[in-house]
Amino acid sequence: MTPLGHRDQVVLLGAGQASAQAADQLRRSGFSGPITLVGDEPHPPYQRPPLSKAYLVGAHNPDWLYYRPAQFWAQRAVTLRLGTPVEAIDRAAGVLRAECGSPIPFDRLLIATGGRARPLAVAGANLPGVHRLRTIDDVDGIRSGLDHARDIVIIGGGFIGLETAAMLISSGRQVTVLEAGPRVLGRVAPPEVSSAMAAIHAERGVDIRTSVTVTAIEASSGRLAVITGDAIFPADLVIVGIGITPEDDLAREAGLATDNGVVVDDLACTSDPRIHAAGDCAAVFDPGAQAYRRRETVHNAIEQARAAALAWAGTSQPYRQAPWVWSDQYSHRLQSVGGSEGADRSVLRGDQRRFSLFHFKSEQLIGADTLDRPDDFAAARRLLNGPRGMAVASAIDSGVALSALAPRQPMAKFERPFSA
Amino acid sequence: MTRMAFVIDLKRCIGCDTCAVGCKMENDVPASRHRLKVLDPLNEPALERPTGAYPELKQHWLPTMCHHCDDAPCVAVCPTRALWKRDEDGIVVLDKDRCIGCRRCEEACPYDALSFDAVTGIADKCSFCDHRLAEGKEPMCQAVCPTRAIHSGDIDDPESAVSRLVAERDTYRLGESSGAGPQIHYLKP
Repeated sequence: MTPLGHRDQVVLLGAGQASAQAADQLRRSGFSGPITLVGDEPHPPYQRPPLSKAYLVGAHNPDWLYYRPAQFWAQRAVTLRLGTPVEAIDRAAGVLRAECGSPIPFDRLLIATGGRARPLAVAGANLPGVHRLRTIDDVDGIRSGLDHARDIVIIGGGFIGLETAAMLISSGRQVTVLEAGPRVLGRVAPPEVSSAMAAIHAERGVDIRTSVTVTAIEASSGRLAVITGDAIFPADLVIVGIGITPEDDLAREAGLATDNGVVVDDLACTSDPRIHAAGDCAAVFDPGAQAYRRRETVHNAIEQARAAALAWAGTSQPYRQAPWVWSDQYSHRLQSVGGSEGADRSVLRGDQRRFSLFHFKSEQLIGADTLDRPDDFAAARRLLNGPRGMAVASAIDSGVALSALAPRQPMAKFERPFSA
Repeated sequence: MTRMAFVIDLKRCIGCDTCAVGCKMENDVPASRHRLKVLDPLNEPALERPTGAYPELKQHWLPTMCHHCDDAPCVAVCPTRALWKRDEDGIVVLDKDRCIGCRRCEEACPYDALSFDAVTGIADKCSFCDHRLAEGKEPMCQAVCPTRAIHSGDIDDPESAVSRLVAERDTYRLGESSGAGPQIHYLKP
């Protein structure tokens, strides 16, 4: 790929983690040309993870949501065009066509449009008091209704649902979680983790119902009623957290390859070499699954965006790191790296309340889930990203220190001997 | 613009660890964790391990903490901006409330400058004693050093004591080839 020229115009479509990272990396790489960051929300790039955690109950400094202070963008000569919905990517003309305002020309484009909250397809899903949780404005809407809410029903038992449940029951409310699958965290964690987290929530008083399908939401006497096959759950407020779908419509309509996301290679490049994609909207080929997969993680957004920016700057650094994710619930920290899909053996270290679970496939370590064992998480990530891996026997033998198997990067040495 | 830096005179350092103890007390650093370490030339905790033959024995030590790099690798990889470079004085700041314990900073830092809580994974590191700087005081490691080996100040101010020391003495920076721009300048022994 021809490196960026200093007159080339870079446009970052989307105002999330990936675009923020790409802008930062481009400037770090010495690119001094124009960068325009376009977002449909009115906010500069902000972090979504705190939205379902401390920010939800007002315990998070609002300024900390933003990746960078306001002056950062001006200092780095990054033009922000916020509150600017884009209706088309015109590849032939090399412009974005905004719903209002002039077209936005680009020589290189990063599509980082993220995902949209998956809608709940039942009657009553749009009633007042039924909220999704994806954006600052969504959460501000929830917060405005919390003062008068005692009974809260959360639809969806994934990370968002459980983090939300933890925050809300800790603030003194009655919380019920309705999960369609047979266990919570069923899409993102193995059964052992699901059981542990369900137990933690049950101890705090969260009413978790699994294998429950919501069929309707009704309003009655100023309250809501969540209807399932055989029960009715009264609620003052309902939060829907049933995953996201990729915002890949613009890419598809522009003729770029898509497959449940914008198809990219390990340099984050789409089927058009001028256009890259990163973050929740991007799908990369997973050789193990023989399918394109999206990774809805902060780490993925950062590293894909970094790979794109570096490629534009003339340095190809394929992104092949083990994905990782975290979730904070109460005082517990769940951290996962790699995956457990396809594992033929899992080895547990620790006990039911504080453990590490290492997953192996054909004797190869493929992932780890840790609950309140951050040292193991860090070691597992080093093992997965390094050349050595870990044998099953080492995982079983609790006398084997993972830190010895995966030593930390040595500190910079004395570069020359001291001589008096 | 101010750019705070440490200048450490290795000719004066006697490996007594008073800086490390002072740092721990000032910043309430838990046992088994550190913000500042004093190493011998084998990168191990300070030991009496002189070289040469009596009476021509030599021994040097290396106090090291966060190097408050110009282009800090930890800042570049931190996913939540818990680590950031403060424009007004160049200090690399850690907001613990934003730290998610992912330890990407640990992987990126060439100086082993961060330590981590065993349960939450939350990071800790040298803050340049910015709470003391705000009161017009020097960092605690500097304040307690019995041989006055540690200096701090604005390295961009040619009139500052640290700038004069760097100008007058032969210096080097640890891991300078990384390009990170570390801001601990060691005066050669």
